[in-house]
Amino acid sequence: MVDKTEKTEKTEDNIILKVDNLGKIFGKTTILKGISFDVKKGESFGIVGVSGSGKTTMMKVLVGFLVPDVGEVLFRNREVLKSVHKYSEEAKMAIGFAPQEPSFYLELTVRENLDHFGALFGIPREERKEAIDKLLKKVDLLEAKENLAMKMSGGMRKRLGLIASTIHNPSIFVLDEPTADLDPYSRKQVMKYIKDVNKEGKTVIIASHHLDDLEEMCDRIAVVHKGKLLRVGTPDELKDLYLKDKVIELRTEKQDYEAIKKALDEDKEAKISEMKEEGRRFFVKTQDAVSALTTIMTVIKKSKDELKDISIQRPSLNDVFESMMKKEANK
Amino acid sequence: MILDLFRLVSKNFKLLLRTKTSILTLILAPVIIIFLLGLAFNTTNVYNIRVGVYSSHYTELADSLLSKLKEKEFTILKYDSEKECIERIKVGDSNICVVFPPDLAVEKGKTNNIVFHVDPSETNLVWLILDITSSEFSSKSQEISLDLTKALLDRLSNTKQKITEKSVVVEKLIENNIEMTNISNQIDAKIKTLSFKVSGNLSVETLKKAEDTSQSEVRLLKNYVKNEIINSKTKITTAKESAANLPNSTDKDHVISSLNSISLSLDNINTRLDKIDSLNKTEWKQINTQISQLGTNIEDTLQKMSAAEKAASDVTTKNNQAKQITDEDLARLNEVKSTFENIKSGVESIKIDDAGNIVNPITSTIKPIVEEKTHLNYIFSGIVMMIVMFVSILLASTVIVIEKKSKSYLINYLAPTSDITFVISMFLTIMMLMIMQTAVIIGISAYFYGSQILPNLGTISLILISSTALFVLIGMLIAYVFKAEQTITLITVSVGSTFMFLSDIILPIESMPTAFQYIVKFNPFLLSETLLKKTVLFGVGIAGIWEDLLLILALSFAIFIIILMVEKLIKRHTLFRLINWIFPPKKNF
Repeated sequence: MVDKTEKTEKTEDNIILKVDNLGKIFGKTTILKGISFDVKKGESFGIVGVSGSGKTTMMKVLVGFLVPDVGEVLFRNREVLKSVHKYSEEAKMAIGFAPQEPSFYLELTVRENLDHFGALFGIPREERKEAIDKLLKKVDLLEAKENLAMKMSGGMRKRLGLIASTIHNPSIFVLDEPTADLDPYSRKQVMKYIKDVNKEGKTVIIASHHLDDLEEMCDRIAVVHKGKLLRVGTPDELKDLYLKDKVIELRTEKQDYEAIKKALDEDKEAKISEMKEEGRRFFVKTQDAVSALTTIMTVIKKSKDELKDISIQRPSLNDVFESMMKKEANK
Repeated sequence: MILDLFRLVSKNFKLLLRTKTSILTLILAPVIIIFLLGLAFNTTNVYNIRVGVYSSHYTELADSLLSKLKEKEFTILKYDSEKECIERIKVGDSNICVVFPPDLAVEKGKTNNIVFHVDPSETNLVWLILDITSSEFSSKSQEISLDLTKALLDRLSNTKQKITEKSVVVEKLIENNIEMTNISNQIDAKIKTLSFKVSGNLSVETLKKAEDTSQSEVRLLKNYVKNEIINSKTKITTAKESAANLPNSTDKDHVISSLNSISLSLDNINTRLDKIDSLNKTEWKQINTQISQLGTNIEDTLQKMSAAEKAASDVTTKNNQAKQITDEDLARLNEVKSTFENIKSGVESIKIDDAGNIVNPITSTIKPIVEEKTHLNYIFSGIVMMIVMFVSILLASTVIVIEKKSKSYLINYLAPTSDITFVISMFLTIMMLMIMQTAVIIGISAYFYGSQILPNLGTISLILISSTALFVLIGMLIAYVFKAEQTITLITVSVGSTFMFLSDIILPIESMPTAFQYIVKFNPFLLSETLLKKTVLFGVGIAGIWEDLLLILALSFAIFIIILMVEKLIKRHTLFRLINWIFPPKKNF
C-alpha cells in the first residue's frame, strides 16, 4: 500500500498532469468526451473501465501517441504546465508508457532491447549499461539478460516491457493493463516494481480493469465508462459513495441456506440488498451486519446446524464498480 | 546522428538475421530466381518440342527431314496413324503432328505437301512450333532446291566450257575454209594464166621449105668461105715472104710461125667445109624425117593442148563450184561461231552464278547488334531489373511494415529520436540488404555473362545501386502512407506490376499513345532497365548514361522528401484531422 499520509499533503501546485476536457473521435465514433482530471506529482493514479470504455485511447492521448480532437493534456516541466502534443520532445522524456502489449523486439535479447530503447532516449552507453542491470535486477530478469525476448514467458515479457518503458527514468509512468494475463508470481513482481517506482517519487498512472490491483496500488482512481469520466476518488471515497453494504460470507454443515434466506427476508432492520449461494457458501449484502448476523445465528441454532466458517467484509472495488455500472445501465 | 544510424541499422540487421523466414524469403528467393533463370535460359537451343510424325511410308527425304529436326534437339515421336498422331496432341504427348506424304521425294513435275496439325489453343506455343518446324522443313526444301539449281548451273557451266573449247575448232575450220577459198582462187588464177593457143602457122611444109632454104644457104656459105680461104692463103704466102725479110730472126720466126698456124687453121676450115660438102642426103633425110615426126608431134600436141584447154575450162567450172560451197560453209561456220558466241555471252550474262543466290535471290540476315551467347542475353537486364524492382519495393515495404507492426513501434514512436534518423536507418538497412543481394545477383550473372559484365562492373553497380535506392524509397513510401499490411502488399505488387506493364518488357511502349509514352519515359523501371541494357548489352559507359542516372537520383531524392513529409503528417495525424476538419463528424463532447 502506498503512503497515503504523504499524498494527502500534496497541493494543487503539485499537479504533474492535467487532463482538460479531453475528446477523441475515430470516424463517427466518439471514443472520449469531456474528460478532465488532474494527476498529482508522485501520485499513483488508476483509471478503471470495462473493455471498450476508452481507457487505452485515453492512455495513448496522455502519452502523446494520439492527438485529441478536443481539449488538451498538460504535463509539468520545470514548474510549468505544457501541452504534451505541442512539446512532444520534452513530453517524451518526461513520460514513460508501458502499453498493454509489451513493446520490444522479440528477436532481440533482453539486453539488446533495453540498450536499443536506452539509446533512443539518448542515454549514454555507460549509463545505459548500469541502468539496464539495475532495472533487470528489480524485476528479477538479470539471469535472462542474454535471452531472446521471444523465448521468454508472458510474465517475463511483461516485466521486460515495463522496464523498457522506464529506461529513461521518466517522471510520469503510464501503464496500460500492467497485470493483465499474468501468473501470480509475475503479477506480484510487476506490482512490486510499480510500487517501487512510485515510492521513488515517480507519478504512476495505471489503466486496468483489475480493480483489486488498482485498489492495492492506487491513491486515486478514475472510473471511465463509454468514454466519459464517471468519478474520480480514493478507493474508500468510491466505496463510501457507491456501496455502504457489508458482505457476510458463511458456510454451514448442512449447507441448507433456505431457512436463513427466509429469516433475513423477514428481518427489515438488516436491510439486505442481496443474497446468493455460490457453491457451498452463502453471501449476504447488508447495511446492518450486526442485525443480519444475529438473524443468521438464530436460524442455524434453531435448525441444529453447525457453522463451519463465517466472515464479514467491506465491499471490494469490484462491487463498487459493478454497482456503478448497474446505475449507469439503469440511466 | 551517425552513431544513432549505425545502431539502428545494426538493430535492423539483427532483427532480420534472426528471422529465418524473412532471410529465406527476402534474400534467398531472388538469388534462387536469378540462378534458376540463368540455368533455364543459358542456352541457345530451341525449346523442348515434341514433334509427332506419321507417314505410311517414310521416304529418304522424309527421314532426312526428321534427322534435321533431331539435330535441332526436337523429340521425334513416330505414330502408326494420322489419327493417333493428332490425338496425341490433344493429350499433350506431342506439340505438333507432321504428316508426310508416302511418296515424299524431289521428282520432275511432282508437288510435295507436308501437313502440320497443331493445337491452336496453345496460342503462345503454336506459332513458335509452326515457325520452328516449318523453317526446318523449308530449310531442307531450300537445300534440295539448292542442289537442283547447282546441278543446273554445273551443266550450264560445262556447256559454256565446251563451247569455249569447240569455238577454237570452229575458228580453225573457218581459217581452213578461207585458206581453201584462197587456194581455189589461186588455182583459178593459174588456170586463167594458161594459154593453149599456138601463135603463127606451125606446119611440116614450112619446115621442109626452111630445110631446103637452109641447104642452099649452107652451100652458098661453103663456097664463099672456100674462096675466102684461098684468098687468105695467098695473102699468108705474101706475108711469109715479107716476114723472111725481117732482121730479127726471133720476130721473123714468130711471125712466120703465126702465119703458118693461121694457114693451118684455114686448111682445117677448108677440110671441114669439104666434109660439109660431103654431107649426103641421109642426114637431110633424117632431118626431114625428124621434121615430119616433129610435125606429127606438133599436131598431136595441138590436139592435147586443145584437150587441156577443155580440161582447164572444166577445172575452172568445178573450182568455181567448190569455191561456192566453201563460201557457203564459211557462212555457216561463221553462223555457228556467232551462235557459240551468243550462247557463251548468254551464259556469261547470267549475273548470279551461285545456286544459293538463285534459290534465294534476296536473302535477309538478322544480325544482332550484340553477340548472342544465350537466350538470357537479351532478357538479362529486364530480369535483373525486375527482380531488383520487386525485391526492393517488397523488401522495403515489408521491413517498414514489420517495424510498424512491431510491438516496439510505440516505444520507438515515443522516443525522442528524430523521424529522419529512423527513415534513414530503415533506408540504409534495406539498401545494405539489397546491395548484398545485388552483389550475389551480379556474381551469378558474371558466371553466365562474365565477359559482358566485368568490363562495366563499376557502371553496372552504380546503375543497380541507384535503381535499388529508388525502388526501396518507393516501397518505403507505400509502407509509410498506408496502414494495413494487406493493403501495402497489394499496392506494392500493383505498383511493381504497373511499372513493368508500362515498360517495353511486355508490350513496346511505341504502341502506346504519344502522350502516354512521354509519361512512361519517367517510369523508374523503364529508366533503370534501359540504363542496365545500355551498359550490359552495348557497353555504354557512365558518360553515355549520366543524364538518366541523375534523373533516377533526382526522383529518389524527391521520394525521400515525400517520405519525410508523409511520416510527419501521419505522426501528427494531420491528414486525419484535415479530413475531420473538412467533413466534421457529429460531436458529442
